[in-house]
Amino acid sequence: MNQEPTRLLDDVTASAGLRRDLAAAARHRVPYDAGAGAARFEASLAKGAGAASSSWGAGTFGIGALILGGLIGGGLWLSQPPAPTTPTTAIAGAGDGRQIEAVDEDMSAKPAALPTPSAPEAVVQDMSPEPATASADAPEEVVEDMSEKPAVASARSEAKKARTGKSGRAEAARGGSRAGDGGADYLREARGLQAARNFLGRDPAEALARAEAGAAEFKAGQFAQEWEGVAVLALFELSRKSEAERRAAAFLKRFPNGPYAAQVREALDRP
Amino acid sequence: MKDLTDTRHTAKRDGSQVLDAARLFRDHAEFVANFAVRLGVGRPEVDDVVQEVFLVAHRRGGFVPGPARPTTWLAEITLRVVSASRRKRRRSWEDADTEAVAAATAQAGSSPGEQAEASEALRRVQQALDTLEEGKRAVFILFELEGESCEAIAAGLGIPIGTVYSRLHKARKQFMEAHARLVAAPPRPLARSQTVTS
Repeated sequence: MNQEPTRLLDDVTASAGLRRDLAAAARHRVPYDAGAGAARFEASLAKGAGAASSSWGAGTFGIGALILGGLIGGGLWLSQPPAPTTPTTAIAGAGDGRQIEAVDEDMSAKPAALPTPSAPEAVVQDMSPEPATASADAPEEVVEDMSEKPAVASARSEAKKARTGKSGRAEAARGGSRAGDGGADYLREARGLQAARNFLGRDPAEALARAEAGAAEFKAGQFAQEWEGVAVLALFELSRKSEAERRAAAFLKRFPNGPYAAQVREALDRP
Repeated sequence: MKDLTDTRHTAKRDGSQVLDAARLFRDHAEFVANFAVRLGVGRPEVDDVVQEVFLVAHRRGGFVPGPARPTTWLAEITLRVVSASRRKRRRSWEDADTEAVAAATAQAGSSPGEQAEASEALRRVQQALDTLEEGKRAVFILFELEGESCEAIAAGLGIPIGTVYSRLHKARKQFMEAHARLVAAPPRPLARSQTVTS
C-alpha cells in the first residue's frame, strides 16, 4: 500500500530548529490528575445513569398521562355533538395554552399537559414535538453524533496490533497491571485517593493516614505517584519537616513532571 | 443514600460498559488531555473536555478493536467535543494557547535555561499549530507529535487514508511556514499567565 511518510522529527531534510521544537513538543505531557479525573468521571457516570432512569420514569408517567388524557378527551369528544369544521390550528393553540398551565401544576412535564379536552387527533399532534424537545435538551450535538457511530464501531472486525510510538510505550508500561485488575479496583482506588486529597488543608493527619493506607492497599495500583504526593503534602502541613523534605526529594526524583511535582516543589520552597 | 444505591445498581446493570469506559479512562485520559491542549483548549477547560470525551466514549459503548487505535478513536471524539465546546465558549478560550504554554513552562526542563528554551519551543509549536484549521491540525498532531500511523488516523477519524495524506501534506507546509516566521520573529511579550509562572 502507501508508504508511511517520514515524520518531520526524523526527517533530516527538515530544519534542525523545527525538529528540535517538535521533539520538545512530542516529549512534553500536560500534567493531568488522573485520580481526580477518574473520580469525577465515575460520579458523572452515576449521575448520567440516574438522570436516564428518572427521565425514563418521567416518560412512563407521561405516557400514562397521555393515555388517561386521551381517554378523557375521547370521552368528551364522543359526548359532544360533531363540530361542523375541524380547525386543527385552533385546537393546537388551545392545547398550547393549557400546556403551560398544566406544566405549572405538575412538575413532571409536558406529557401530562398534552391531553386536552379536544379531539384525539390533537393529542396525537401534540405528541410529536415531545421527542424533539427531549433531544434538544441533550448536552450538545456531540451526543447526537454518537448515534451514528456504533455502526461504524461495530463494523470494525479485526484487532490490529499496537505499533511503536508513545502510546504504544505507555500501553506497554501499563499492560502488566491491566491484565489482572478490574475497573472496579481502579475506581475504588481513585475514590479513595480523592477522599484522602480532600483532607489536605483541613486535616493533614487524616490525609496522611489515608494516603499511606491507600498506597499500601493498592501496591500494584495506578496512582502510586498520587498517593505519595498526597502523603508528602500532608507531611509538610503537619510540619514534619525533615521527613517531608526527605520524601519530597525522593518523590521529585521519581516523578519530576507528575501532577503533584509543582505542589511538592512549592512546599519545599516554602520557608 | 438513594443516589448511592442507584449508582451501584447502574454499575451492576451496565457493568461491562462502565468497566470499558473506566479502562479507557485509565489508559488514555492523559492522551486526551494532551490532545485537547494541542487543539487549543485552555487549562481550566481541559478536565471538562476529558470528562465529556469519556462520557461520549461510554455512551458509544466503549472502544471496539479494529483498524483504529483507542487513541485515534478517542481523538475523533475529542475533536468533536472541542469543536462543540469552542463554539459555545469562544470568548473564554481566547487565551487558551498562552495558558497551555504557561502551564507547560512550569514543568518543562530542569534548569531555568532549559525551562526557558523548552517554553519557547512549546510556544512556537503551539502558535504554529494555531495557524492550522482543525481537521489538518488534528491529523498533524496525531501523526507528528503522537506518533500515530496514517492508517490508524484514517480509521479513527473516519476519513479516507488519501484525505489523511492530503491533510498532512498541507498541514506540514503551513506549519513549517508558520514555524519559520516564528523563529525569525522576536519572541512576543509574555502573556499574563506566563509572567506569573516564570
